[in-house]
Amino acid sequence: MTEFLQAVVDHAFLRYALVAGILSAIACGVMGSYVAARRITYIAGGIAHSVLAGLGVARYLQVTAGWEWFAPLYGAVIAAVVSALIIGIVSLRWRESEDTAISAIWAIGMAIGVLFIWRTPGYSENLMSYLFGNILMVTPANLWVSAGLDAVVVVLGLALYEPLLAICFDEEFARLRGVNVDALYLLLLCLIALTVVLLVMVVGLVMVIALLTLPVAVAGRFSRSLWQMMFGGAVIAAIVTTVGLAVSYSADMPAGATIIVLTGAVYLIAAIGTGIAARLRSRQRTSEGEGAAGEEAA
Amino acid sequence: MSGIPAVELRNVDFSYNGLLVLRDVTFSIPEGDFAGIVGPNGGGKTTLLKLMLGLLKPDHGTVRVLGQKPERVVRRIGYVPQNFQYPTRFPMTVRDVVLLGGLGREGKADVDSLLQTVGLDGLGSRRFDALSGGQQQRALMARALATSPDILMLDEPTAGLDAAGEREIFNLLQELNERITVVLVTHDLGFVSDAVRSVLCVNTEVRRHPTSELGEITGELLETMYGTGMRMVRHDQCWQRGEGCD
Repeated sequence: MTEFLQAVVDHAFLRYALVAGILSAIACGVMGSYVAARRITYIAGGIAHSVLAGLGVARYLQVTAGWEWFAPLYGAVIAAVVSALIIGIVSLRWRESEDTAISAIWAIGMAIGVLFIWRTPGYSENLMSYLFGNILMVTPANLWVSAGLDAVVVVLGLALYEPLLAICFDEEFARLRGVNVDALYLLLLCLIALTVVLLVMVVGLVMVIALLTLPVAVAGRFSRSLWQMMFGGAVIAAIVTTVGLAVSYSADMPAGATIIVLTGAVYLIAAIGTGIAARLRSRQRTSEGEGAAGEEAA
Repeated sequence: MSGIPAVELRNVDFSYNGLLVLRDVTFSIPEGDFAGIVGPNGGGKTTLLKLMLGLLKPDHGTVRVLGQKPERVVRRIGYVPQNFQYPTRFPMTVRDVVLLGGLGREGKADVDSLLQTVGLDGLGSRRFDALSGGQQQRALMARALATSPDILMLDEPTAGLDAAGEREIFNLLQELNERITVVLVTHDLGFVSDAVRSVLCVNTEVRRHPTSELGEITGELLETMYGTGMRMVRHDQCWQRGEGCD
Protein backbone atom coordinates (compact mmCIF):
# COMPACT_ATOMS: atom_id res chain seq x y z
CA MET A 1 0.00 0.00 0.00
CA THR A 2 2.92 2.33 0.82
CA GLU A 3 4.32 1.62 -2.62
CA PHE A 4 0.96 2.55 -4.15
CA LEU A 5 0.69 5.77 -2.15
CA GLN A 6 4.18 6.75 -3.23
CA ALA A 7 3.25 5.98 -6.84
CA VAL A 8 0.14 8.21 -6.51
CA VAL A 9 2.40 11.05 -5.41
CA ASP A 10 4.82 10.38 -8.26
CA HIS A 11 2.45 9.64 -11.18
CA ALA A 12 -0.30 11.94 -12.40
CA PHE A 13 -2.13 9.10 -14.24
CA LEU A 14 -2.70 7.34 -10.89
CA ARG A 15 -4.06 10.51 -9.35
CA TYR A 16 -6.46 10.89 -12.29
CA ALA A 17 -7.50 7.26 -11.87
CA LEU A 18 -8.18 7.77 -8.17
CA VAL A 19 -10.28 10.87 -8.80
CA ALA A 20 -12.18 9.11 -11.61
CA GLY A 21 -12.88 6.18 -9.28
CA ILE A 22 -14.19 8.40 -6.50
CA LEU A 23 -16.33 10.47 -8.88
CA SER A 24 -17.91 7.34 -10.31
CA ALA A 25 -18.39 5.90 -6.80
CA ILE A 26 -20.50 8.90 -5.74
CA ALA A 27 -22.78 8.56 -8.78
CA CYS A 28 -22.80 4.82 -8.26
CA GLY A 29 -24.10 5.17 -4.69
CA VAL A 30 -26.89 7.60 -5.62
CA MET A 31 -28.10 6.04 -8.86
CA GLY A 32 -27.31 2.44 -7.91
CA SER A 33 -29.76 2.83 -5.00
CA TYR A 34 -32.53 3.87 -7.38
CA VAL A 35 -31.66 0.96 -9.70
CA ALA A 36 -31.89 -1.49 -6.78
CA ALA A 37 -35.05 0.09 -5.38
CA ARG A 38 -36.84 0.15 -8.70
CA ARG A 39 -35.43 -3.27 -9.66
CA ILE A 40 -34.23 -2.17 -13.09
CA THR A 41 -30.81 -3.78 -13.13
CA TYR A 42 -31.58 -5.43 -16.46
CA ILE A 43 -32.37 -2.03 -17.99
CA ALA A 44 -29.07 -0.66 -16.67
CA GLY A 45 -27.32 -3.69 -18.22
CA GLY A 46 -28.93 -3.00 -21.59
CA ILE A 47 -27.91 0.65 -21.49
CA ALA A 48 -24.36 -0.27 -20.46
CA HIS A 49 -23.84 -2.63 -23.39
CA SER A 50 -25.42 -0.25 -25.90
CA VAL A 51 -22.73 2.27 -24.97
CA LEU A 52 -20.29 0.34 -27.18
CA ALA A 53 -22.17 1.62 -30.25
CA GLY A 54 -21.49 5.23 -29.22
CA LEU A 55 -17.88 4.51 -28.36
CA GLY A 56 -17.29 2.70 -31.65
CA VAL A 57 -19.01 5.28 -33.86
CA ALA A 58 -17.24 8.20 -32.16
CA ARG A 59 -13.84 6.52 -32.49
CA TYR A 60 -14.55 5.72 -36.14
CA LEU A 61 -15.50 9.34 -36.89
CA GLN A 62 -12.44 10.59 -35.04
CA VAL A 63 -10.14 8.51 -37.21
CA THR A 64 -11.91 8.54 -40.58
CA ALA A 65 -13.70 11.90 -40.64
CA GLY A 66 -11.10 13.82 -38.67
CA TRP A 67 -13.60 14.73 -35.93
CA GLU A 68 -10.91 14.96 -33.27
CA TRP A 69 -13.27 16.76 -30.89
CA PHE A 70 -15.75 13.88 -30.97
CA ALA A 71 -14.19 11.81 -28.20
CA PRO A 72 -15.55 8.30 -27.60
CA LEU A 73 -16.82 9.52 -24.24
CA TYR A 74 -19.25 11.88 -25.99
CA GLY A 75 -20.41 9.04 -28.23
CA ALA A 76 -20.96 6.95 -25.12
CA VAL A 77 -23.11 9.66 -23.52
CA ILE A 78 -25.26 9.99 -26.65
CA ALA A 79 -25.68 6.22 -27.07
CA ALA A 80 -26.51 5.72 -23.40
CA VAL A 81 -29.13 8.48 -23.29
CA VAL A 82 -30.76 7.41 -26.58
CA SER A 83 -30.91 3.78 -25.37
CA ALA A 84 -32.36 4.88 -22.03
CA LEU A 85 -35.09 6.88 -23.76
CA ILE A 86 -35.97 4.05 -26.17
CA ILE A 87 -36.18 1.49 -23.35
CA GLY A 88 -38.08 3.95 -21.17
CA ILE A 89 -40.68 4.79 -23.80
CA VAL A 90 -41.20 1.11 -24.69
CA SER A 91 -41.48 0.28 -21.00
CA LEU A 92 -44.10 2.98 -20.41
CA ARG A 93 -46.15 2.38 -23.56
CA TRP A 94 -45.78 -1.32 -24.24
CA ARG A 95 -44.67 -2.86 -20.94
CA GLU A 96 -45.08 -6.39 -22.29
CA SER A 97 -42.39 -5.67 -24.90
CA GLU A 98 -39.92 -4.22 -22.40
CA ASP A 99 -37.74 -7.37 -22.20
CA THR A 100 -37.51 -7.59 -25.97
CA ALA A 101 -36.55 -3.93 -26.26
CA ILE A 102 -33.83 -4.25 -23.63
CA SER A 103 -32.41 -7.39 -25.25
CA ALA A 104 -32.45 -5.73 -28.67
CA ILE A 105 -30.74 -2.57 -27.41
CA TRP A 106 -28.20 -4.69 -25.52
CA ALA A 107 -27.20 -6.86 -28.47
CA ILE A 108 -27.60 -4.39 -31.35
CA GLY A 109 -25.66 -1.72 -29.45
CA MET A 110 -22.75 -4.09 -28.99
CA ALA A 111 -22.92 -5.29 -32.59
CA ILE A 112 -22.83 -1.73 -33.95
CA GLY A 113 -19.90 -0.95 -31.69
CA VAL A 114 -17.93 -4.01 -32.79
CA LEU A 115 -18.59 -3.26 -36.49
CA PHE A 116 -17.41 0.35 -36.23
CA ILE A 117 -14.35 -0.58 -34.20
CA TRP A 118 -13.58 -3.28 -36.79
CA ARG A 119 -13.88 -0.73 -39.61
CA THR A 120 -11.74 1.85 -37.81
CA PRO A 121 -8.31 1.94 -39.45
CA GLY A 122 -5.32 1.19 -37.25
CA TYR A 123 -4.87 -0.85 -34.13
CA SER A 124 -8.16 -1.38 -32.28
CA GLU A 125 -6.70 -1.43 -28.80
CA ASN A 126 -9.69 0.51 -27.48
CA LEU A 127 -12.10 -2.41 -27.74
CA MET A 128 -10.66 -4.19 -24.71
CA SER A 129 -10.53 -1.01 -22.65
CA TYR A 130 -14.18 -0.26 -23.51
CA LEU A 131 -15.26 -3.77 -22.61
CA PHE A 132 -13.21 -4.20 -19.44
CA GLY A 133 -12.27 -0.62 -18.57
CA ASN A 134 -8.94 1.05 -18.23
CA ILE A 135 -9.05 3.55 -15.44
CA LEU A 136 -5.30 4.18 -15.85
CA MET A 137 -5.94 5.74 -19.28
CA VAL A 138 -8.16 8.52 -17.86
CA THR A 139 -7.03 11.95 -19.06
CA PRO A 140 -7.58 15.35 -17.44
CA ALA A 141 -10.11 16.11 -20.20
CA ASN A 142 -11.97 12.89 -19.32
CA LEU A 143 -11.95 13.94 -15.69
CA TRP A 144 -13.61 17.27 -16.45
CA VAL A 145 -16.35 15.53 -18.43
CA SER A 146 -16.71 12.99 -15.62
CA ALA A 147 -16.97 15.74 -13.02
CA GLY A 148 -19.68 17.42 -15.12
CA LEU A 149 -21.64 14.18 -15.52
CA ASP A 150 -21.21 13.41 -11.84
CA ALA A 151 -22.53 16.83 -10.85
CA VAL A 152 -25.61 16.44 -13.05
CA VAL A 153 -26.35 12.93 -11.78
CA VAL A 154 -25.79 13.65 -8.09
CA VAL A 155 -27.51 17.05 -7.99
CA LEU A 156 -30.62 15.84 -9.86
CA GLY A 157 -30.62 12.48 -8.08
CA LEU A 158 -30.65 14.17 -4.68
CA ALA A 159 -32.83 17.16 -5.60
CA LEU A 160 -35.57 14.83 -6.87
CA TYR A 161 -35.12 12.40 -3.99
CA GLU A 162 -38.71 12.44 -2.75
CA PRO A 163 -40.55 11.99 -6.06
CA LEU A 164 -37.98 9.44 -7.27
CA LEU A 165 -38.39 7.56 -4.01
CA ALA A 166 -42.15 7.67 -4.54
CA ILE A 167 -42.00 6.15 -8.03
CA CYS A 168 -39.54 3.48 -6.90
CA PHE A 169 -41.67 2.51 -3.91
CA ASP A 170 -45.17 2.71 -5.40
CA GLU A 171 -45.59 4.14 -8.89
CA GLU A 172 -49.38 4.05 -8.82
CA PHE A 173 -49.62 5.96 -5.56
CA ALA A 174 -47.09 8.51 -6.83
CA ARG A 175 -49.32 9.07 -9.86
CA LEU A 176 -52.27 9.65 -7.53
CA ARG A 177 -50.29 12.29 -5.70
CA GLY A 178 -49.83 14.23 -8.92
CA VAL A 179 -46.26 13.14 -9.67
CA ASN A 180 -45.49 13.09 -13.41
CA VAL A 181 -44.39 9.47 -13.22
CA ASP A 182 -43.63 9.00 -16.93
CA ALA A 183 -41.38 12.07 -17.24
CA LEU A 184 -39.63 11.28 -13.99
CA TYR A 185 -39.04 7.67 -15.00
CA LEU A 186 -37.47 8.76 -18.29
CA LEU A 187 -35.29 11.24 -16.41
CA LEU A 188 -34.28 8.50 -13.97
CA LEU A 189 -33.21 6.27 -16.87
CA CYS A 190 -31.21 9.13 -18.42
CA LEU A 191 -29.42 9.72 -15.11
CA ILE A 192 -28.69 5.99 -14.89
CA ALA A 193 -27.33 6.20 -18.46
CA LEU A 194 -24.92 8.97 -17.46
CA THR A 195 -23.83 6.96 -14.42
CA VAL A 196 -23.21 3.96 -16.65
CA VAL A 197 -20.90 6.09 -18.82
CA LEU A 198 -18.97 7.15 -15.72
CA LEU A 199 -18.60 3.54 -14.63
CA VAL A 200 -17.61 2.31 -18.10
CA MET A 201 -14.43 4.33 -17.78
CA VAL A 202 -13.59 2.56 -14.52
CA VAL A 203 -14.60 -1.06 -15.01
CA GLY A 204 -15.70 -1.29 -18.64
CA LEU A 205 -19.19 -1.89 -19.93
CA VAL A 206 -19.21 -5.64 -19.30
CA MET A 207 -18.77 -5.17 -15.55
CA VAL A 208 -20.75 -1.98 -14.98
CA ILE A 209 -23.70 -3.82 -13.48
CA ALA A 210 -21.59 -5.26 -10.67
CA LEU A 211 -20.35 -1.85 -9.55
CA LEU A 212 -23.78 -0.29 -9.96
CA THR A 213 -25.58 -2.89 -7.85
CA LEU A 214 -23.26 -4.67 -5.41
CA PRO A 215 -22.01 -1.74 -3.26
CA VAL A 216 -25.58 -0.50 -2.74
CA ALA A 217 -26.77 -4.05 -2.08
CA VAL A 218 -24.21 -4.28 0.74
CA ALA A 219 -25.20 -0.85 2.04
CA GLY A 220 -28.90 -1.78 1.85
CA ARG A 221 -28.35 -4.51 4.42
CA PHE A 222 -27.34 -1.93 7.00
CA SER A 223 -29.63 0.96 5.99
CA ARG A 224 -32.99 2.12 7.24
CA SER A 225 -33.65 4.53 4.42
CA LEU A 226 -32.75 5.06 0.78
CA TRP A 227 -30.48 8.03 1.48
CA GLN A 228 -28.47 5.90 3.93
CA MET A 229 -28.20 3.28 1.20
CA MET A 230 -26.94 5.96 -1.20
CA PHE A 231 -24.34 7.23 1.24
CA GLY A 232 -23.21 3.74 2.26
CA GLY A 233 -23.14 2.56 -1.37
CA ALA A 234 -20.97 5.53 -2.42
CA VAL A 235 -18.54 4.95 0.47
CA ILE A 236 -18.25 1.21 -0.27
CA ALA A 237 -17.83 1.86 -4.01
CA ALA A 238 -15.11 4.44 -3.29
CA ILE A 239 -13.28 2.03 -0.99
CA VAL A 240 -13.40 -0.95 -3.38
CA THR A 241 -12.37 1.26 -6.30
CA THR A 242 -9.40 2.71 -4.42
CA VAL A 243 -8.30 -0.58 -2.87
CA GLY A 244 -8.85 -2.39 -6.19
CA LEU A 245 -6.71 0.18 -7.94
CA ALA A 246 -3.96 -0.24 -5.33
CA VAL A 247 -4.06 -4.04 -5.53
CA SER A 248 -4.06 -4.06 -9.32
CA TYR A 249 -1.13 -1.62 -9.39
CA SER A 250 0.90 -3.62 -6.89
CA ALA A 251 0.15 -7.03 -8.42
CA ASP A 252 0.23 -5.78 -12.03
CA MET A 253 -3.33 -6.92 -12.77
CA PRO A 254 -6.15 -5.30 -14.78
CA ALA A 255 -7.75 -2.61 -12.59
CA GLY A 256 -11.37 -3.10 -13.71
CA ALA A 257 -11.42 -6.83 -13.09
CA THR A 258 -9.63 -6.45 -9.74
CA ILE A 259 -12.17 -3.85 -8.58
CA ILE A 260 -15.08 -6.12 -9.54
CA VAL A 261 -13.62 -9.21 -7.83
CA LEU A 262 -13.08 -7.13 -4.71
CA THR A 263 -16.65 -5.79 -4.92
CA GLY A 264 -17.97 -9.33 -5.27
CA ALA A 265 -15.94 -10.46 -2.26
CA VAL A 266 -17.30 -7.60 -0.13
CA TYR A 267 -20.86 -8.50 -1.17
CA LEU A 268 -20.34 -12.18 -0.35
CA ILE A 269 -18.85 -11.42 3.06
CA ALA A 270 -21.72 -9.01 3.85
CA ALA A 271 -24.36 -11.50 2.67
CA ILE A 272 -22.89 -14.39 4.66
CA GLY A 273 -22.17 -12.21 7.71
CA THR A 274 -25.66 -10.69 7.89
CA GLY A 275 -27.21 -14.13 7.24
CA ILE A 276 -25.31 -15.66 10.17
CA ALA A 277 -26.13 -12.65 12.38
CA ALA A 278 -29.85 -12.93 11.54
CA ARG A 279 -29.82 -16.66 12.35
CA LEU A 280 -28.07 -16.05 15.68
CA ARG A 281 -30.58 -13.33 16.59
CA SER A 282 -33.48 -15.61 15.71
CA ARG A 283 -31.98 -18.47 17.79
CA GLN A 284 -31.47 -16.09 20.71
CA ARG A 285 -35.07 -14.88 20.52
CA THR A 286 -36.32 -18.47 20.44
CA SER A 287 -34.27 -19.47 23.50
CA GLU A 288 -35.41 -16.32 25.35
CA GLY A 289 -39.03 -17.19 24.53
CA GLU A 290 -38.57 -20.76 25.72
CA GLY A 291 -36.90 -19.47 28.91
CA ALA A 292 -39.79 -17.11 29.61
CA ALA A 293 -42.33 -19.88 28.96
CA GLY A 294 -40.42 -22.21 31.33
CA GLU A 295 -40.42 -19.58 34.08
CA GLU A 296 -44.16 -19.03 33.63
CA ALA A 297 -44.81 -22.76 33.84
CA ALA A 298 -42.69 -22.98 37.01
CA MET B 1 -72.63 17.43 4.78
CA SER B 2 -72.55 19.18 1.40
CA GLY B 3 -75.18 17.04 -0.29
CA ILE B 4 -72.81 16.34 -3.17
CA PRO B 5 -72.34 12.59 -3.64
CA ALA B 6 -68.92 11.32 -2.62
CA VAL B 7 -68.79 9.31 -5.85
CA GLU B 8 -71.07 9.43 -8.86
CA LEU B 9 -70.81 7.41 -12.07
CA ARG B 10 -73.16 7.95 -14.98
CA ASN B 11 -73.47 5.60 -17.96
CA VAL B 12 -69.85 4.48 -17.68
CA ASP B 13 -68.48 1.89 -20.10
CA PHE B 14 -64.95 0.61 -19.81
CA SER B 15 -63.07 -1.98 -21.86
CA TYR B 16 -59.56 -3.46 -21.86
CA ASN B 17 -58.23 -4.26 -25.33
CA GLY B 18 -61.74 -4.35 -26.76
CA LEU B 19 -63.10 -6.58 -23.97
CA LEU B 20 -65.99 -4.91 -22.17
CA VAL B 21 -65.32 -4.94 -18.44
CA LEU B 22 -67.98 -2.51 -17.23
CA ARG B 23 -71.21 -1.71 -19.05
CA ASP B 24 -73.51 1.26 -18.57
CA VAL B 25 -72.59 1.72 -14.93
CA THR B 26 -74.63 4.32 -13.08
CA PHE B 27 -74.66 4.74 -9.31
CA SER B 28 -73.78 7.20 -6.61
CA ILE B 29 -72.27 6.81 -3.16
CA PRO B 30 -73.48 9.42 -0.67
CA GLU B 31 -71.08 11.36 1.52
CA GLY B 32 -70.29 9.51 4.76
CA ASP B 33 -71.27 6.12 3.34
CA PHE B 34 -69.37 2.93 4.00
CA ALA B 35 -69.64 1.11 0.67
CA GLY B 36 -68.42 -2.39 -0.08
CA ILE B 37 -67.68 -3.42 -3.67
CA VAL B 38 -68.12 -7.15 -4.20
CA GLY B 39 -68.24 -9.49 -7.16
CA PRO B 40 -66.50 -12.40 -8.85
CA ASN B 41 -62.86 -12.30 -9.96
CA GLY B 42 -62.58 -10.50 -13.25
CA GLY B 43 -65.96 -8.87 -12.66
CA GLY B 44 -64.48 -5.37 -12.73
CA LYS B 45 -64.17 -4.47 -9.02
CA THR B 46 -60.61 -3.12 -9.17
CA THR B 47 -61.34 -1.47 -12.53
CA LEU B 48 -64.29 0.31 -10.95
CA LEU B 49 -62.09 1.53 -8.09
CA LYS B 50 -59.40 2.74 -10.49
CA LEU B 51 -62.02 4.66 -12.48
CA MET B 52 -63.08 6.37 -9.25
CA LEU B 53 -59.43 7.18 -8.52
CA GLY B 54 -58.90 8.63 -11.99
CA LEU B 55 -56.18 6.08 -12.75
CA LEU B 56 -58.31 4.80 -15.65
CA LYS B 57 -60.48 6.80 -18.03
CA PRO B 58 -63.91 5.52 -19.07
CA ASP B 59 -64.69 4.82 -22.74
CA HIS B 60 -68.02 6.55 -22.25
CA GLY B 61 -69.81 8.25 -19.39
CA THR B 62 -68.73 10.45 -16.53
CA VAL B 63 -67.02 9.80 -13.22
CA ARG B 64 -67.26 12.41 -10.49
CA VAL B 65 -65.71 12.32 -7.06
CA LEU B 66 -66.84 15.02 -4.63
CA GLY B 67 -68.54 16.64 -7.59
CA GLN B 68 -65.38 16.92 -9.69
CA LYS B 69 -63.21 14.88 -12.03
CA PRO B 70 -61.15 12.45 -9.89
CA GLU B 71 -57.80 13.90 -11.03
CA ARG B 72 -58.84 17.30 -9.65
CA VAL B 73 -59.44 15.98 -6.16
CA VAL B 74 -56.62 13.43 -5.84
CA ARG B 75 -55.46 14.94 -2.58
CA ARG B 76 -58.92 14.54 -1.09
CA ILE B 77 -58.83 10.81 -1.87
CA GLY B 78 -56.87 8.34 0.24
CA TYR B 79 -55.98 5.07 -1.47
CA VAL B 80 -54.76 1.74 -0.14
CA PRO B 81 -53.74 -0.59 -2.99
CA GLN B 82 -54.31 -4.32 -3.38
CA ASN B 83 -51.49 -6.80 -2.59
CA PHE B 84 -48.94 -4.05 -2.40
CA GLN B 85 -45.69 -5.48 -3.75
CA TYR B 86 -42.77 -3.34 -2.73
CA PRO B 87 -39.21 -4.21 -3.71
CA THR B 88 -37.76 -6.61 -1.18
CA ARG B 89 -34.93 -5.22 0.92
CA PHE B 90 -36.14 -1.70 0.08
CA PRO B 91 -34.64 0.30 2.94
CA MET B 92 -37.47 2.51 4.03
CA THR B 93 -38.83 3.35 7.46
CA VAL B 94 -42.52 3.39 8.29
CA ARG B 95 -42.17 7.17 8.76
CA ASP B 96 -40.80 7.52 5.19
CA VAL B 97 -43.74 5.53 3.82
CA VAL B 98 -46.28 7.70 5.62
CA LEU B 99 -44.52 10.91 4.55
CA LEU B 100 -44.88 9.87 0.90
CA GLY B 101 -48.63 10.18 1.41
CA GLY B 102 -48.27 13.94 1.69
CA LEU B 103 -46.04 14.21 -1.37
CA GLY B 104 -46.40 17.51 -3.17
CA ARG B 105 -48.30 19.08 -0.29
CA GLU B 106 -46.84 21.99 1.61
CA GLY B 107 -45.72 21.06 5.11
CA LYS B 108 -45.04 17.60 6.42
CA ALA B 109 -47.77 15.29 7.59
CA ASP B 110 -48.02 14.67 11.34
CA VAL B 111 -46.64 11.15 11.10
CA ASP B 112 -46.84 10.38 14.83
CA SER B 113 -50.50 11.31 14.96
CA LEU B 114 -51.27 9.27 11.81
CA LEU B 115 -49.44 6.25 13.19
CA GLN B 116 -51.39 6.60 16.41
CA THR B 117 -54.64 6.68 14.42
CA VAL B 118 -53.83 3.35 12.77
CA GLY B 119 -52.42 1.77 15.94
CA LEU B 120 -48.75 1.84 15.04
CA ASP B 121 -47.53 4.26 17.70
CA GLY B 122 -43.78 4.16 18.22
CA LEU B 123 -43.06 2.14 15.07
CA GLY B 124 -42.13 5.10 12.87
CA SER B 125 -38.43 4.35 12.82
CA ARG B 126 -38.85 0.64 12.09
CA ARG B 127 -38.11 -0.64 8.58
CA PHE B 128 -41.31 -1.12 6.59
CA ASP B 129 -40.28 -4.63 5.51
CA ALA B 130 -39.83 -5.63 9.17
CA LEU B 131 -43.57 -5.13 9.84
CA SER B 132 -46.13 -7.93 9.75
CA GLY B 133 -48.65 -8.01 6.88
CA GLY B 134 -51.36 -6.40 9.01
CA GLN B 135 -49.00 -3.71 10.25
CA GLN B 136 -47.92 -2.95 6.68
CA GLN B 137 -51.56 -2.52 5.68
CA ARG B 138 -52.07 -0.12 8.56
CA ALA B 139 -48.93 1.82 7.60
CA LEU B 140 -50.34 2.13 4.07
CA MET B 141 -53.61 3.36 5.57
CA ALA B 142 -51.65 6.00 7.49
CA ARG B 143 -50.02 6.99 4.19
CA ALA B 144 -53.47 7.23 2.59
CA LEU B 145 -54.65 9.46 5.44
CA ALA B 146 -51.68 11.83 5.20
CA THR B 147 -53.60 14.43 3.19
CA SER B 148 -56.64 14.26 5.52
CA PRO B 149 -58.81 12.87 2.71
CA ASP B 150 -62.60 13.07 2.50
CA ILE B 151 -62.81 9.60 0.96
CA LEU B 152 -60.76 6.51 1.68
CA MET B 153 -60.68 3.88 -1.09
CA LEU B 154 -59.24 0.46 -0.35
CA ASP B 155 -58.66 -2.51 -2.63
CA GLU B 156 -58.78 -5.80 -0.73
CA PRO B 157 -57.08 -4.37 2.36
CA THR B 158 -57.34 -7.66 4.26
CA ALA B 159 -56.01 -9.98 1.54
CA GLY B 160 -53.48 -12.35 3.08
CA LEU B 161 -54.28 -11.40 6.69
CA ASP B 162 -55.46 -13.80 9.38
CA ALA B 163 -58.87 -13.41 11.01
CA ALA B 164 -57.51 -11.26 13.85
CA GLY B 165 -55.70 -8.99 11.39
CA GLU B 166 -58.87 -8.65 9.31
CA ARG B 167 -60.93 -7.72 12.35
CA GLU B 168 -58.40 -5.06 13.38
CA ILE B 169 -58.48 -3.49 9.93
CA PHE B 170 -62.27 -3.53 9.81
CA ASN B 171 -62.58 -1.99 13.27
CA LEU B 172 -60.21 0.74 12.18
CA LEU B 173 -62.24 1.37 9.02
CA GLN B 174 -65.43 1.65 11.03
CA GLU B 175 -63.75 4.23 13.28
CA LEU B 176 -62.54 6.18 10.26
CA ASN B 177 -66.01 6.05 8.72
CA GLU B 178 -67.23 8.26 11.56
CA ARG B 179 -65.28 11.06 9.85
CA ILE B 180 -64.90 10.12 6.17
CA THR B 181 -66.51 8.15 3.37
CA VAL B 182 -65.05 4.67 2.96
CA VAL B 183 -65.20 2.65 -0.27
CA LEU B 184 -63.84 -0.86 -0.03
CA VAL B 185 -63.28 -3.65 -2.54
CA THR B 186 -63.47 -6.90 -0.64
CA HIS B 187 -63.96 -10.62 -0.90
CA ASP B 188 -64.94 -10.78 2.75
CA LEU B 189 -68.68 -11.16 2.34
CA GLY B 190 -69.16 -11.67 6.07
CA PHE B 191 -67.82 -8.22 6.69
CA VAL B 192 -69.95 -6.78 3.92
CA SER B 193 -73.19 -7.67 5.69
CA ASP B 194 -71.70 -7.07 9.13
CA ALA B 195 -70.23 -3.63 8.72
CA VAL B 196 -70.80 -1.75 5.46
CA ARG B 197 -73.85 0.36 4.80
CA SER B 198 -74.22 -0.23 1.09
CA VAL B 199 -73.05 -2.86 -1.33
CA LEU B 200 -72.02 -2.43 -4.95
CA CYS B 201 -72.34 -5.72 -6.76
CA VAL B 202 -70.03 -5.76 -9.77
CA ASN B 203 -70.10 -8.20 -12.62
CA THR B 204 -69.70 -6.08 -15.73
CA GLU B 205 -72.86 -4.31 -14.57
CA VAL B 206 -73.10 -2.64 -11.18
CA ARG B 207 -76.00 -2.59 -8.72
CA ARG B 208 -76.01 -0.72 -5.44
CA HIS B 209 -78.01 -1.83 -2.37
CA PRO B 210 -78.22 -0.47 1.14
CA THR B 211 -77.28 -3.46 3.33
CA SER B 212 -80.43 -2.86 5.38
CA GLU B 213 -82.41 -4.06 2.35
CA LEU B 214 -80.54 -7.31 2.03
CA GLY B 215 -82.51 -9.00 4.79
CA GLU B 216 -85.71 -8.46 2.84
CA ILE B 217 -84.36 -9.56 -0.49
CA THR B 218 -84.91 -13.16 -1.45
CA GLY B 219 -82.61 -15.16 -3.67
CA GLU B 220 -85.32 -15.27 -6.34
CA LEU B 221 -85.69 -11.50 -6.29
CA LEU B 222 -81.96 -10.98 -6.59
CA GLU B 223 -81.85 -13.39 -9.48
CA THR B 224 -84.64 -11.45 -11.13
CA MET B 225 -82.76 -8.18 -10.53
CA TYR B 226 -79.41 -9.41 -11.79
CA GLY B 227 -80.67 -11.63 -14.56
CA THR B 228 -79.96 -15.27 -15.10
CA GLY B 229 -76.60 -16.61 -13.99
CA MET B 230 -76.32 -14.04 -11.19
CA ARG B 231 -77.52 -16.27 -8.38
CA MET B 232 -77.11 -14.86 -4.86
CA VAL B 233 -77.75 -16.67 -1.60
CA ARG B 234 -78.01 -15.06 1.79
CA HIS B 235 -76.56 -16.82 4.85
CA ASP B 236 -76.66 -15.92 8.56
CA GLN B 237 -74.11 -13.12 8.57
CA CYS B 238 -73.08 -13.00 4.97
CA TRP B 239 -74.37 -13.44 1.50
CA GLN B 240 -72.66 -15.14 -1.33
CA ARG B 241 -72.89 -15.35 -5.04
CA GLY B 242 -73.38 -18.65 -6.74
CA GLU B 243 -71.00 -20.42 -9.07
CA GLY B 244 -67.88 -18.57 -10.04
CA CYS B 245 -68.03 -16.37 -6.98
CA ASP B 246 -65.26 -16.54 -4.39
